[in-house]
Amino acid sequence: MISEFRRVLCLIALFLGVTGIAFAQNMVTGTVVDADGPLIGASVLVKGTTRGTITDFDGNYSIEANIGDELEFSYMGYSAQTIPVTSNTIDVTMHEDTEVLSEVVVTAMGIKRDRKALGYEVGEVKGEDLTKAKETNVANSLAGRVAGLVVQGTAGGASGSTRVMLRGTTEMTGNNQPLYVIDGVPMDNTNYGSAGTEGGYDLGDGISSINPDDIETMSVLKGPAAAALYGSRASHGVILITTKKADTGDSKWSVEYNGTLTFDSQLSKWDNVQQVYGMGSEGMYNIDAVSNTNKSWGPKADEGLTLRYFDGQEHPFKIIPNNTANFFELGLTATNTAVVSMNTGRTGIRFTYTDMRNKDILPNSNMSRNTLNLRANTSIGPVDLDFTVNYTHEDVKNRPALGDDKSNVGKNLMTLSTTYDQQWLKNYQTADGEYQNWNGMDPYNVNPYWDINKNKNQSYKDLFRMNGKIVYNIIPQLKIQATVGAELNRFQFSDFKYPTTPGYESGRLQNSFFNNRMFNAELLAIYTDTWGDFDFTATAGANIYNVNNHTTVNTGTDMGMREIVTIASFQDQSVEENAYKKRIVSVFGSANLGWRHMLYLDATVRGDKSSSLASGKNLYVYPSVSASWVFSELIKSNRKVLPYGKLRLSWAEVGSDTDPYQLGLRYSKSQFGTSGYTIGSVYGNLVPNPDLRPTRTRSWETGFETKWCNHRISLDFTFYHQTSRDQIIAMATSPTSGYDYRLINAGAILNQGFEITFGSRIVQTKDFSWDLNINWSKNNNKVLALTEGTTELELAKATWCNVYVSAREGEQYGSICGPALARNADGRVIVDANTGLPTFTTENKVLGNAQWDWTGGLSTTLRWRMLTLTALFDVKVGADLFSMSERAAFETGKAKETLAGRAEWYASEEARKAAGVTSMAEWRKAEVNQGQYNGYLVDGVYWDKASGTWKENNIYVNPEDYWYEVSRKSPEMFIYDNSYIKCRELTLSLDFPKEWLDKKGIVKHVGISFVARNPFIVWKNIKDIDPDAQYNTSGLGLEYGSLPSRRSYGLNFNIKF
Amino acid sequence: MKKNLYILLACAVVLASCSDKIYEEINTDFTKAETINPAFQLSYAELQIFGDMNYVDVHRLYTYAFTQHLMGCWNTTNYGGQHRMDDNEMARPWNNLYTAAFRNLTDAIAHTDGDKEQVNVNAALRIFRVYVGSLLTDYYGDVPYTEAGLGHLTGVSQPKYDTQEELYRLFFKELKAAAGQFDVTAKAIDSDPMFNGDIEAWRKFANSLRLRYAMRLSGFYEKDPASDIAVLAKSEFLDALKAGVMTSSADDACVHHDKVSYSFGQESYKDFRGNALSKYFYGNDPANNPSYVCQTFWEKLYNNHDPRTTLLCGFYIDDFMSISTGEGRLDVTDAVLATQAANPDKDIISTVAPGEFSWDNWPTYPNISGSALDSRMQEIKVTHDFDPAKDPRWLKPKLANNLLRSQNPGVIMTYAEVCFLRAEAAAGLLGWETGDIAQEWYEEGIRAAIYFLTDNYNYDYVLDSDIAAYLAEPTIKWGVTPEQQKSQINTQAWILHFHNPAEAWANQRRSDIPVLTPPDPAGKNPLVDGNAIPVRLCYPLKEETYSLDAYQAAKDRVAGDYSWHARLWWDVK
Repeated sequence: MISEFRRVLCLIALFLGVTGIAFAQNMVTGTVVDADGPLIGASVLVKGTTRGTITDFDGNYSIEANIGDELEFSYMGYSAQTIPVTSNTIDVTMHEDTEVLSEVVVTAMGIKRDRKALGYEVGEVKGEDLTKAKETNVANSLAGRVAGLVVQGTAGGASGSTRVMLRGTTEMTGNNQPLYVIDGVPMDNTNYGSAGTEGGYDLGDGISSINPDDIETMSVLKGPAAAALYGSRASHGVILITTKKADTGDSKWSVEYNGTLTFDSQLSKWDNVQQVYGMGSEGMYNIDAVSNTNKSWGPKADEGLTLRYFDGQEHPFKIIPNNTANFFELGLTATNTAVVSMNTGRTGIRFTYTDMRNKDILPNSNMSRNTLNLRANTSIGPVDLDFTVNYTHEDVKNRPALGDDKSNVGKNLMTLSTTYDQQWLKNYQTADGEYQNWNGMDPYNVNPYWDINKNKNQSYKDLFRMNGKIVYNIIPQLKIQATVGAELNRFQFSDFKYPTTPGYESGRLQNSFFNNRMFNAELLAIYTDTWGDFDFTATAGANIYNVNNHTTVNTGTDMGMREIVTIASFQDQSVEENAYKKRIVSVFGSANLGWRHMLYLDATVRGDKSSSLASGKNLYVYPSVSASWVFSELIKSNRKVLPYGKLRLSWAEVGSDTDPYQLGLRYSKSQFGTSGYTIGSVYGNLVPNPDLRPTRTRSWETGFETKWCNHRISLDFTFYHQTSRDQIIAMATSPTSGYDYRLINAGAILNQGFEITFGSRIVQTKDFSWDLNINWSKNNNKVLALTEGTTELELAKATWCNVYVSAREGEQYGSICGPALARNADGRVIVDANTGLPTFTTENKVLGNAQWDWTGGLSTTLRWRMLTLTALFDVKVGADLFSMSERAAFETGKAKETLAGRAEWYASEEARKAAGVTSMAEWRKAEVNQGQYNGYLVDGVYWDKASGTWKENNIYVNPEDYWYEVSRKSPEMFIYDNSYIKCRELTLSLDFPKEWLDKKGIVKHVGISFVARNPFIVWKNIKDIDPDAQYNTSGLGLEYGSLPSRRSYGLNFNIKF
Repeated sequence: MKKNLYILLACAVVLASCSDKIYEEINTDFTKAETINPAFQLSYAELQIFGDMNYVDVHRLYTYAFTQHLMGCWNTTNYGGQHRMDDNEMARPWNNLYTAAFRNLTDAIAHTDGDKEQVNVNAALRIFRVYVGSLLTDYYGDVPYTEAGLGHLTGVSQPKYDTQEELYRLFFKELKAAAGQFDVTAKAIDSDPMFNGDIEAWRKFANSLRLRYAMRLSGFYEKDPASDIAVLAKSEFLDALKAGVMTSSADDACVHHDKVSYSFGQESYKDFRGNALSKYFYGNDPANNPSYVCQTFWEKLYNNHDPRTTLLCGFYIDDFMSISTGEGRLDVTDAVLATQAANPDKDIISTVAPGEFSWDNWPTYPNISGSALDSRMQEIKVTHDFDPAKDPRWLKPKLANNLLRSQNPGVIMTYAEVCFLRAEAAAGLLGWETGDIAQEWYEEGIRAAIYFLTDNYNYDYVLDSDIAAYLAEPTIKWGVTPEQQKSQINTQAWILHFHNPAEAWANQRRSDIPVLTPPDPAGKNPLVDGNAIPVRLCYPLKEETYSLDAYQAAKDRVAGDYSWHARLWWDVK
C-alpha cells in the first residue's frame, strides 16, 4: 500500500504542474446540425486534450485549435465524428447512432440480443460501477441500482452473506434467492450456515467470491419470462454475470492495477441510553458487583461512590459514555487487483489476481480473499474456444456470532449496565487461563473479550470454478455451442470454545467440512436468419445439471488436553454426516421472430426431469411467450421528442422441484456413542411425501420503454403479476402428528407490482454534466391460500416474547405475530386488578409485517472536466422490524424511556419500609401511605367486579416490573417501522486526461477516487440499530444484538498500461 | 413448425434416456437408513424422559415449583414460583415428547405389529407409549393419543384429542394386553437401557403402571365407590396385583444414563445419554443458579429427622465450584446442622419460601463464637483466602452434590412407589381387598425409598436403627385415622417422587398431599397469572393455528373457563 500512496503523490504533483501551463491557440468556428436542423449542446473537443466546448442554441461553436489538431464532435444518440482541422471553419452534420438504438443486452443462455426485441424487462449493471467503492460481497453493491431488486446484508459484516430478492417472495419456504449464472454456467450460491433462533454464524454465500474486477456486466432477469430458459432453478429470477475477456484494443499487451483502501468505522451506534441510573436492581446495587451487571435498575450514578468489582478493583459508580462504541476498532479493507491481458488478433488471454484483506471493526476478526482468474479465448477456423479457470481462497478468522448466540458480542455489550465500563472486562481470564467469573457465570452474558480472545472460529474456503465453451460456426446462420462447467467448493468451518466458557464449560470444538461439487453441461444450437422483412432466431438445447454435496460435522466435547485444539483433544467425539445429491436433465428451445425491427415475437419451452421428485411426477414442461412492439418506428418524424418507444408483453410458467430425499422416511443412529444399547430414531422432523408435484409459477408482465428529448431522458415502466401455486411447502403442523412439518403441495402466493425506471441527463454544458437516475418499485406479496384447515404457516421464530413471523392467509407474506396487549372495547389496555400490570391476549395477533411497501434507488453523477462525483441512495419504506435489542434495552433499564416512575417508586418504597408496612396491599390504602404511595402507573383500565365497570388503573408498580413484564410477554411494544434512506455510495473520481499521461502512450489511464460505502444514513425510524441489521438472510423482520454496522471511506487508484 | 416438432422429438428422446432407476439411486440418501431395529427406537424413547434437555427443563421451570420441592433459582421462581404463564415453556412436553418418543414408539409399533418374532419389543414399545401418553395427559388433560404420531403412517396431521377418561380406560387395556404378549421363545429386546431386555421386568412394570393409574382414579372411589369408574379403578388394581407387580428394588424401572460432561451447547440438546435433570440441578450458570431446596421440602425432611435429609440436601459454598463438573463445592453441611442443633432458639438455617428468589430473603451470618460453624468459617478463611460471611446465602439448603451426577438414573417407576400404592389401596379410605396390611407396605415403602437413594446415588447404607428411629417419629409413625394414613403415605410418596417430578405433581394433585400453600399474592414477587397453584399446563397456542377444530373441542370440554386453574378429569374433589 505504501508504494501505492507514493505513486498517487507523484501523480498529484504531476497534475498541479500541468495545469499551470497555458497554450496560445487559433480559433475554429462552425455549426453542428443533424437531418432536422441545428443541434444544441453537442460537444466539441480537441482530441487528446481537455479543451472542449458545446454548441449554442443555433448549433454554433468556437474553439481554440491549431491546424493539424483533430476535433471530436459528439452528441447523445449520434455517432461521434473526428475531423482534422484544415481550416478555421468546420461545419458538421451528425448522424443518428444505430448502436444506441440497438442497445445490446445479455439474455438467457448468454445470448446477446437487441434490447428492443425483448418482451420482458432486463435490468443491467455495468462492472465499472462496482470496482471503485468495493464491497467485500459484490452482491451488496447492487443495492438501489435496479428497480425491483432488493438487497439486504446481514449483521454478519464483511464475511457475511447477502439476501437478494427479485420481485418478492415466490416460495413460502425456501431461500427465494435468484440463480447466478456466470458465463453460462450456474453458480453454487450455498449459504453454508446462518444464524437462527438460537443464534449462530453467517458463513457467507457463493456470490461473495466473485471478484468485481472481473465483471463486465450483470444482467438482471427479473421475471419468469426472462428466466424461463433456465428452468426450475430460475424461478426466483436470474442474475447473469458476464466476465471480462482480454482487451481487444490496438496493443498486444495491457497491464492494469486497481487498488482500494478503505477505513471502516461504526455507522449506527447504541446511544439511546439513559444517563441517570446505574447497575443494579430494585434501585439497589449488589455489594459483590457480580450480579445484575446487565441491569441498569440500580441507584443513581454517583461519581463519589466506588464499588469493588470482580477484578478486585475499586471503580467509581458513574455513567460510562459511548461504552458500547468504545469496544470496536477502526477497520481496514484493502483490495489490490492486477490484470494482465494479452491479445493477438484471434487469441486473447486475461489474467486477474486479487488480494482482499479486511480487518473488521470487531477486534480480532479479519478475513482475506485471494482470487485468481484466467480466461483464454481463441478461434481455430470456424471454431471459437473460450476457457475460464478460477480459484478463490478465502480465510476468515473470528466471524461475529449473531442473534441470540451466547457469544454475540453486540448483544452482550448492549445490555451492559450504564455504569459498567466494558474495558474492565479486558481482565477476562484467571491466572490459569480460565474464564474469569465477572457476573456469576451468567451464560447469557459472556465476557466479550473472552469471546474474541479465547474462543476462536475460523473458516477456509477453496473454490475451483472451471468453465469451457466451444462454438462451432457451421454456416453463418447456424452455430452449435457446447458449454461445460464445474465447481468444486470445499469449505471448512471450525468453532472452538475454550473450557470454562459459560454454556460450554467442558470446552467444545466443532469442525464442519462441506464438500460441494457441481457439474453442468449444455449443448445449444442457434440458428439465425433473415428473410425479407423478417428476422428469425431459433435455439434448441439440452442440459444436464448435477450436484453432489457431502457434509461432515465432527464435534468434540469435554476437552481433556487443553494444549492443542484438535478433535483428538476431546474426550467425547461425535460425527454427523449429511448428503445432498440431485440431477436435473433438461431440453429446451426457443424461437424469435422479428418484423421490420418493429414487431418481435418470442416463444420458449423447457422440459426438466428432476431426481428429487418421484418417477412419473418428475417431468415437467413449461412455456413462455413474449412480444415487443417498437412503436417509435411508426412516428419517425418526432425523433427528437421520442426517439425510442417500445411496448412489451409476456407470459410464462416455470416449474420448480425440491430438495432431494423428501419422498420417504429415513432413520439414523444418534451421533453419540453408547455402550450396551443403541439410540436410533426417525430422521428429521418432516413428514415425507412421495406424491409431490412440481411447484408452478405463472406470470405475465407488460410495460413500456421510452427515450425522450434526444435520448436525454428515459422512462421505463413495468407491471407484473405472478402467482405461484401448488407450492412444495414444508407446512408447519401440530407436533401431535409426530412431526413439526409435513411436505405438501399447497398454497398460492401472489406477487404483483410496478417498476419504474427513470434516467436523465439534466444538464449538459461544455465542462459539466449531471445525470440523475431513479428507480422505484412496489410489490404486493400476498398469501392467497395455504392448505385446508390451516391459515398460518410459521416462517421464523425468535427466542423472546413468543414472537414469530408467518405467512397468514389473506395477509402480506411475513406477518410479525405474537400475543398483544389485551385491550377493552375502547382500545384501553386492560391491567390486572391485583397487580396493576398489563394483561395480554391468549391468542396470537398480527402486529406488523416484514415486507417493504416500496423500494427505490437514486443515483446521480456529476461530471466537471475530469472530475466525476457519483452518489447512490437506497430507499426502503414500510417494513416492520421486531427489535430484540430494543426489547433488551427496556428490560434491562437502559432505554431512556424506562426513567419514568423510577424516582417515585424508590421514594415510595423507602417510605413504606420506614413506615414498617410489609404488605403491598396494605400500603396501597390511602389512610396508611399518607400520599406517599407512588411509582409507575400503567395507562390502562381494570375490570371492577363490584361495579361491573371499567375503572381507571390506580395501582402503582415498579417500572422494572412493568418493563420486565411487557418485554417478556408480548413483542408489541418493540416492533418498529424499519423504513430508511441510506446513502450507499459516494465516489469522487479524477480521471487523468491523456495529455497528462506520458507522450509515448505507455500509460493508458490513470484515475484516482475518493470512495465511500454506506457513509451515512439519511433517515431512519428505528433508533440505535442499523435497519439492515437482521441476523440472517431470511429477511423476516427479526433483529437481535446486531453489531454496529460498518461505514467505509477510502481511496481507489487505477492505472493502466 | 416442423422445427418445433423436431425440438419436441429431441426433448422426448433426451428425457426418456435418463432412466428412473438412476434417478432413484441419486435420490437415495447414502447417510441414512431405510429401516431400523425397533429396539433402537425404544432406547431413544426411554432415554428422552430424563435425557432430553428441551423437555426436562419443564421440571425446573414449572413442575418443581408447583410441587414445592425446589424454589429460589431464577428459572424456577420466575416461571412456576410466580405463576408466570409462558407459552413456549409450557409447550415443552407437548413439542418434545410427541415429536421424539411418541413418534418413534408409534412408528416402531406399526412396524412390529403382527410380527411373531418381534412380540417382545412390540409389547415393550406399547407399554412405554402408554407411559408417555400418561405424562402428556397428566400435564394437559385431553390430548391426542389414538391418532397421534401417525403423520407419516396415515397422514393424520390434526389428530383428535382423546378425553382423559378414554385414555385411562385405554391405558389399562393396552398394559394388560402388552403384558400378556411377552414370549421367552421370541426374539429378545436387544437394546434397552431401562431393563436390558428383561421381559419379566417389563411385565411387572406394566402391571405396576396399572396400579399407578388405578390409584390416579381413586378420587372417584372416595366420592362414590359404586360409580362405573370407581369400580374400574378398583378392579384394575386388584387384577394388576394378581398379575404380578414389582416385588423388590431389582424391579425398579430406572433408565440407565451415562456419565457425560456438563455442557449447554447446542448439540447437548440432542444428546440424551446423560441425565438432563441432574444437569439442570447443576445449573447452566452454576455459581449463581444452584438448586435451592424449597422451604416446604426442607421442613418435611428436617423437622421429621428424616435420615434422607442430608442425602437429598446440603449446605454448600459454591464460589469455588468447578464450572465444568460439580466438584469443588465447600461442604459446610455438618457445621450448619451442628450449630443449628446447638442453638435451637436461633434461625440459623434460612430457607427459600414458595415464590421467593434465593436473594429475596437475604440471611445474615450468625456470629456465634465457638460454634462449629464459626470454626469451619475460620478454616475456610485460611484455606481459601475468602470470607464466606459476605454472601451467606449458603445458609439456604441446596440439593446434595450426589444428585448432580449425569449418570443418575432416570426414574420411571420404583418398587417403593408400588409399596405406597399398595399401602394406600389397603388403608382405610379405600380398603380394597388386596389382602395387604397397609402399615406393613407403608413402612416397607419408606425403607425401599431410603434404599433407593443409597442404591442409586452412591451413598453409604443408612443404618437400620436410623430407619427404625425415623419410623418411630411422631408424624411418621403409622397413624390412626384413615385421613392421617392417606396423608402419611402420600407425603412419603411426594418425598420419593422428588426423583420423578412428573409423577410427584400428578400424585400431589390427585391426593392433595402434602397440602401446599401458594405464595402470598401481595408478597414481594407478584403472582402474575392467578393466585392458586396451577393444576395443569395450557395447550400450546400454536394448536389454534395447526389443529383448530380438535383443539377447540378439547378446550370446550373443560368445565368453566379454560385456564391452568381448571382441574383435570381425575382430579376429583
